[in-house]
Amino acid sequence: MSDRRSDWAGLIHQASVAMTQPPNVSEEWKYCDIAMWAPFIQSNQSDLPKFMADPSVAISVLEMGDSPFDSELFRWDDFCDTPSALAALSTIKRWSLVTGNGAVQVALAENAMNGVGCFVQVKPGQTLNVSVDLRGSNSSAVCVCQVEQGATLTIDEIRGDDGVTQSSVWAVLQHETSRLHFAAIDFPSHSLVRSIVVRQVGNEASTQISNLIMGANQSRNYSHSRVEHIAESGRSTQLIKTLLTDESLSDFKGTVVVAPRAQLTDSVQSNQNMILSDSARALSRPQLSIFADNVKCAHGATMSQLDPDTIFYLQSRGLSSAEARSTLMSGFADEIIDQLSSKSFRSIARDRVLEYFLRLKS
Amino acid sequence: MLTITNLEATIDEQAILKQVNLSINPGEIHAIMGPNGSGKSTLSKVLTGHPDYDVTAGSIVLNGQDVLAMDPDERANAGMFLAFQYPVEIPGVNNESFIRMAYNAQRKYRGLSEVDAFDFAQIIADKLKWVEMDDEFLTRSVNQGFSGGEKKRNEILQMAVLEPQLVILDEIDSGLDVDALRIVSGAVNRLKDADRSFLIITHYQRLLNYITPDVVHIMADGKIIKSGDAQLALQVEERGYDWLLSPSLNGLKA
Ligand SMILES: Nc1ncnc2c1ncn2[C@@H]1O[C@H](COP(=O)(O)OP(=O)(O)OP(=O)(O)O)[C@@H](O)[C@H]1O
Ligand SMILES: [Mg+2]
Repeated sequence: MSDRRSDWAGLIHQASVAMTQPPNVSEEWKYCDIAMWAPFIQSNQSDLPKFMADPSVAISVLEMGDSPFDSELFRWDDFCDTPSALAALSTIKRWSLVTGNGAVQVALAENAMNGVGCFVQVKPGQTLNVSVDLRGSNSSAVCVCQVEQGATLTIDEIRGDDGVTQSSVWAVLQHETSRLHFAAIDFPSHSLVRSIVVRQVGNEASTQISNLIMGANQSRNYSHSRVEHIAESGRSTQLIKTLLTDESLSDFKGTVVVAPRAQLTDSVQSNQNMILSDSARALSRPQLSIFADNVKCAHGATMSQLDPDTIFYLQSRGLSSAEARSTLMSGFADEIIDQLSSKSFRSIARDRVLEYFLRLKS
Repeated sequence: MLTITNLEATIDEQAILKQVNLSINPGEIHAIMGPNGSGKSTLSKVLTGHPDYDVTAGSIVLNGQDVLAMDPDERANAGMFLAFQYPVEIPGVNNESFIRMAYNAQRKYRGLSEVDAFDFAQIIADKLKWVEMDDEFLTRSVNQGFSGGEKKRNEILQMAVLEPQLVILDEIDSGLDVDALRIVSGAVNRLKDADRSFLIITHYQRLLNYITPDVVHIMADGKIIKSGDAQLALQVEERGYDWLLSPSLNGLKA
């Protein structure tokens, strides 16, 4: 598997390496020019969806070369099926490379505003922590990642703010025994979109996605994840939680694909929605496409209010009903917040969650 | 300590407790046995104020206070403690902080100052030894992923920390291996004193070998149908419940 260099991210990898000498833990601002990938794009144009055929869109390269999987099962639509994510992608003209061993904070939003996508490369055996803070104004972010053999990529993303519209698009290619640990917190906003696609092309890769979505007022959150198990013995765990109040909406679509040769895949997807008002809504659309027979795939979605038996348990220990409720809600949120590897992100998230709960009570 | 008089309770308008009378003095240990579905857990939940049950008649008085007028947390703060038959899992809520919150809630109620995390760590470290639990259990979420026996020990740990006046144990012995049974009983015996009372719900005499009851009650169909001393539990162990449920029929058979 490790010599698979003809796949889509491999192309980006080669292009980036050619352009830049990877520094130690830093963002490299030598842009990759789309022009150098143009030959790939043009070679196969007839097979491509119209959007992708536009050579000015760098990320189209992702679709080039030998697809490691049946092309029928991998379409551009899967990659990013919300109009605003597509719009975000279409603004990307150039790529910046982030690589190295250690921790780095990436200014994805500003980059994307300037038409720059981010290419994160984690070299064999290395470990990279990427923190992304998208809070603040309207923005979009596009990031393509390659996690090479035995490497670990940890991504923390916090985003959203009152009244803003943001979108983030993540595409991650995982090689043999690589690990991806993705944790994101979405604060109440006008509208947030996320599309995360992970493709495990090497055996024994593992993926963990944790996301807390907070909704308030008329906020809208559209979240789409797609995890593709192409190789054997891969693991993936997805935990998507929502806290929704007022008239907020969360629309989650989670797709798990297990290719015919991805035997011994172990995949879990769970979407837990905590509905805190009568008019809040959560849509949950888990989707499993399994083409291998010896696999373990579990998925589930729950809609709940606070569990009365759990509240009773806490009260029976002396906590007031209000304390019991806020303890449960913070616990619900903490399970995701604890997944953030950045300490400062964790404390930002805790403060914001506290503020959210205080508002609920009044 | 506790006086239950003519207590009746329903769930979804279905009568579960029918005229329960029970009185426990300070320092006493009472055991309740009875067939499945006879209302033992219901009694424990009605005592502690579970909102699903409606009390339709009777009274519960704890140290002169009208228990039925109190919220579940007030009952806890007044000294009641229930070790649940099925303790719930609470993801994301740290076990140690939870027990500290409970400890501080009860201190606050008594007008005492709260104990900070540092001091509490010492209090709980001592109590962990009572139940021979690894301190790794403190760093996990409340009961999450705990085995059946570990959940029961965690209940007993809370009991040991909170030092309640009235301890209700609902099938604390179910799912425990022999060593755990000895440890849990040891913790209960250690807490026993002249001012503290216990109500122990169990199916098995075995537990009562470790914790000697002053009074044994048999509950059937929502009522206490017989009370006696520790001998009664031995008789139940030997003969089952039939002879108690239908004595005349049983007499005929003999
Ligand atoms: N939520 C409920 N809705 C309807 N019936 C209930 C409910 N909870 C309890 N019951 C019924 O009340 C009766 C008493 O239940 P309870 O759990 O108190 O029995 P128990 O004596 O503790 O039994 P076990 O020994 O099996 O634990 C049972 O018939 C049970 O089905
Ligand atoms: Mg019971």
